Amino acid sequence: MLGKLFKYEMKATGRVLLPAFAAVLVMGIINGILYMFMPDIDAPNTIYAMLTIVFTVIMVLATVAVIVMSYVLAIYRFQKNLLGREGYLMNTLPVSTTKNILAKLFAAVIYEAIAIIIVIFSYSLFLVFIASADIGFIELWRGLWDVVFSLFAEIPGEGWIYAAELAIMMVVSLAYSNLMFYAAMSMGYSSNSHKAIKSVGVYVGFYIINQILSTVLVGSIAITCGDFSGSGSVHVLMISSIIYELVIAAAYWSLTWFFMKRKLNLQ
Amino acid sequence: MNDIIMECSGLWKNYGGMQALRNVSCRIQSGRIYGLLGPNGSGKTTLIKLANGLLTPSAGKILINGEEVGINSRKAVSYLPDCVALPDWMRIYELIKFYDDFYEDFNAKKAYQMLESLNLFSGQRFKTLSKGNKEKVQLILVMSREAKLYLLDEPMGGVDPATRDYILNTIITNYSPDAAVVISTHLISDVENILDEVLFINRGEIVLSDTVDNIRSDNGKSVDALFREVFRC
Repeated sequence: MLGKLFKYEMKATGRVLLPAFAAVLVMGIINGILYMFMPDIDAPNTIYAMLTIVFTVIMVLATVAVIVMSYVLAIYRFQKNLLGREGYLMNTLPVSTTKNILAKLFAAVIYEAIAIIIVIFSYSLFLVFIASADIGFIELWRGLWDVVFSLFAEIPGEGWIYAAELAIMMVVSLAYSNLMFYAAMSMGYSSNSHKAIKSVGVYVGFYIINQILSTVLVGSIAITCGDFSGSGSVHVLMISSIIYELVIAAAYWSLTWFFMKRKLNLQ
Repeated sequence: MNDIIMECSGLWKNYGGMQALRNVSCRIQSGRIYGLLGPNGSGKTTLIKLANGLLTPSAGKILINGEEVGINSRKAVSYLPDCVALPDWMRIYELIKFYDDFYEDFNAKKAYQMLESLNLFSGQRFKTLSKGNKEKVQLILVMSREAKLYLLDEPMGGVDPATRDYILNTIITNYSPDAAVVISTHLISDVENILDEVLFINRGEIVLSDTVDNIRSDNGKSVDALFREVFRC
């Protein structure tokens, strides 16, 4: 059943986000081509320059919008599909509360990760198009990623460990931030009135607690490791962050599950 | 045939300081059609939502097919909410597939037949339908299940008399004979002829529970007339 829930969730979110992802990629290509054929500085073309500026601004806005949109949609889907009218359908399906929450979480994390990757990809395309006026496009594309991969490989001894830690940290951070929203909403919506405002209030409370706890954590590591100059300290910092976020995410998960299972209040 | 499919005992539901249900106890038997009748705000929807796990009781318990509300009870209950709750971005055939994916007792063929009888095109996007047609599609999906208990909350709320006839006809021709049907409504004259039993609910309490035949013979009046007398403002 989790697979089916996940399939519908991916479809529901994808019908909005996939065209947005495509638009961001197209903007990267258009901007790259515009810059590639930019007239020489000796023979400026005002209309062309203005067009380039407009498209550049649109691209920057589109890339910011797609990241924000992936988060907003995740929150909106949880509220609308589980706590709004559609909740009458979703919460009466013969599936467990765990699966209903997990399907939302998996889809949210995947689309948010894809949004970040698409933005990086789009700017890479843009850069390669600009530079490919002199060098071939394919060679440049390969070259760009070769440089990125070799950077990780060349960090003394541990480049790929850093890369793995970064990737894990990104996934855990995405899950953690989504669960923070889910917990706040499931708590806020369990009340009888002012559900949305109460959800925001709970979220602000969670945020303040997180800030205090993470400050305490970084302080403790600084005291333990002395400074952050050695590669060992960086590993300690990253692994500690992952563990910290996993623990807090587990707490948010438990709160979400408890309020969805035991305190559901779809008036 | 006469197994207890739903049982409430000492059920209370408070919303803050307001008591929506007060010590409700009732039994719903398989093979019977029940009218859950009461004025607006009497607690009908609250009772049905509790039976579906959309609300949690403040006290007391509710058993469906002998079990507490959970995955197994949801397999047994086909629920029609008092509002349109289907995802509006889907097309009708996708909604049928959705029900087919999640409910083992769903009969897709039956759903398509009912759609055809209403001249509804399954490729139509749900959000483009009129309010009445949305309610019909939702009812078709709910009644295409071969469930043990149908909980229908205001199935005729806000629709024209011709549609009401269609809805009632859909209900009585599609429910399994050994299933129980609970219809919550205040449009009593429309449903009276199909009911076996009635539960009058007022201010969160069951004030009368009897068969339609008994009500008619004991009081010498129709359920509708008795309702108007009991709930006179």
